[in-house]
Amino acid sequence: MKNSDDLQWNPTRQLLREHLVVSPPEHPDFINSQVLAAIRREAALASVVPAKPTWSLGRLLWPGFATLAAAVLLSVFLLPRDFAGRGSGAFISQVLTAQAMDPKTSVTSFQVPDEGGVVLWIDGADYIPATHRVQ
Amino acid sequence: MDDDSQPYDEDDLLVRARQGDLSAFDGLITRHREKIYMQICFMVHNAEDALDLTQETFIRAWKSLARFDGKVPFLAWIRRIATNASIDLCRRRKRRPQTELELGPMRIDAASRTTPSTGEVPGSGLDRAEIRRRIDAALETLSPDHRAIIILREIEELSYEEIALHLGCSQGTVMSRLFHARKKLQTQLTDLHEEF
Repeated sequence: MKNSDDLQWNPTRQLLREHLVVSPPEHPDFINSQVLAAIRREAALASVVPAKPTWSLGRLLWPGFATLAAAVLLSVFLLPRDFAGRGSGAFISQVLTAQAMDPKTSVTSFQVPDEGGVVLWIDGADYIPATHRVQ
Repeated sequence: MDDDSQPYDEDDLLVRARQGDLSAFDGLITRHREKIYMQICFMVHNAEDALDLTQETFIRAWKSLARFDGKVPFLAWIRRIATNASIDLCRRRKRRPQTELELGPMRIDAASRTTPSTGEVPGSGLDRAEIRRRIDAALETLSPDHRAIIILREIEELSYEEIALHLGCSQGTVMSRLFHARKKLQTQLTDLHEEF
């Protein structure tokens, strides 16, 4: 049985052996150089202690705290803090300029600290138009 | 293609390579690279893939060198790595159908048993390239394991024992797989060798 199988197989074997031929590599030294380079590369990578990524959470934590603390300090010491103590009159009594278009009329402004306001003293005006009244 | 004319014997190279000596491992690669490359080439039918897998085989071998116990010859051990890598590749890519021979231009290997030519085979209507295409197509239909057995037995001419060592299975398994692989191949190539 085995011999008969072998006999039947022989022509196919012949066919394979005759036609199934491959060339050796054209540049066999290339294999060596590539393998050795890969081994050296991996060895170099393995010998380096893995560095923490630049933007790791740990690295960002302290700069983050420092920035936050600086912002709090700036807001505490540099920004004005008396908004709450002022009444609304403090804002509307600020007069930057006081002048009249009519040469016969003169306007003077002066602050009255005790009253917490500014007085506009107008001389020579018969009346103040409704649109120019101080609200 | 073991090169016995090289200045160091294999055992010496192995001992040094296992101690981390890259130049000794380089010597081992030089000794076995062609056999490994050609074996892979038969399996994967693509010269470029064969070159990549040959490199991968030696890199895997270097990484596993500490586990090499010397119970089998180094070549058999490294052949096993090459066969496994080839079978993995064949399974991964599920072999796209190859209409063109991808092994590149045939070159005469000084060690080959036959001298391939590209002319017409006397007494047949087929030229060698066509026959080769038919054989490749028939091999494609075999499973990677069966293809490995056929290559190792019929082309590399290894004994059953060597193949069993090489594939990590019993001789009985080798014989059974070989029987089925032969039958399948024979069926597909019958008309070819009848014509031939």
